[in-house]
Amino acid sequence: MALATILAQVDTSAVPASLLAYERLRRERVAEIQLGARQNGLRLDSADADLSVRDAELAAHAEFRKHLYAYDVVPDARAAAAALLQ
Amino acid sequence: MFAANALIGQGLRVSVYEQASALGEVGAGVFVTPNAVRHLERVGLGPAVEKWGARVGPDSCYFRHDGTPIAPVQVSDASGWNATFGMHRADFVDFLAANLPAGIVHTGHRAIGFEQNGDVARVKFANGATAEAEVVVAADGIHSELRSYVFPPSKPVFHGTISYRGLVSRERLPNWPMDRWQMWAGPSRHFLVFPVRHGTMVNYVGFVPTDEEMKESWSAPGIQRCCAASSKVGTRASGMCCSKSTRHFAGRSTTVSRYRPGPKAG
Repeated sequence: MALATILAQVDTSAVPASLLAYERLRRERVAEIQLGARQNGLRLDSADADLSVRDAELAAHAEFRKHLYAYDVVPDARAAAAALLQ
Repeated sequence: MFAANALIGQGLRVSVYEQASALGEVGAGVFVTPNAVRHLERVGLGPAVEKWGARVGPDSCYFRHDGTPIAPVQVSDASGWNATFGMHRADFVDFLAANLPAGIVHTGHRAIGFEQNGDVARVKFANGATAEAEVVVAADGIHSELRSYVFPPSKPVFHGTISYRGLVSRERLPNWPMDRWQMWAGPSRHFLVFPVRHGTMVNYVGFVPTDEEMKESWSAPGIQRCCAASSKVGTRASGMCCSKSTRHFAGRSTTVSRYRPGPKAG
């Protein structure tokens, strides 16, 4: 959605700059979510003898999910495209 | 396939090249959450999500392997929007493809090379065809050929976990609750169950540690012996027919896509 939103607002001469803007926009968020997914996998497959720490983390995982669900990339993508046009 | 929908929705011209000879019934369940449903609605697929998805509600829960509840699973966003669905991967691909104008998807095209020459980016396919575009989005799978044109080579690191996936029709599990996502998590392994296909099928996945590294695939045949082992957590997978997929960590700590800057207007 972010790529489409940015490319829709620029003409073809701005494609290279658009792709770099897309990368800047997405890199941090995608890395954060990927890291969260990896931590979740490690947590679920925890080999600890005492699972109470893991269980507490599973309970707290609701906050990560709220953060995940809340994000809407479109306003940020529009702003990134608008910055290219200035 | 979603990117194609989004780009077309913004008025851009798009072609999709798919390596499979047909879009088929591959894979099992995927879990679709509000951050994704928001965008599916924007490309007109809200009704398809409702039709093909199976909404999971507030009874979704993590359990210990002995059935003791651990915690509820967050299935709504902060505003209370419960746009959280189990989905059969094949249904998802089908309705994403069906939403595209005719002639956009070209099956039987496996990408084998990329080159950029001035204003033209060109992708070569194993069948001898080529395609030219201003922007190329490489989404050619975990064994991507095109990735090597953007990233330096890196070897995936085996995660040490293998998952056995399968589907059971609702008729065979008449008492199974179809309104929730449930996971049983024991030491080193876990078992996940949620409904798909508008609540007509139960999707299950058993994740177990293994020393045996295998090729990542949605469709590799499973081994009955290992399926039985995976049922230690969930107790319900034994004897079910499974397919397997291994999980890999990418060789890098982050794998956000880097697109080669496209050419200028031609």
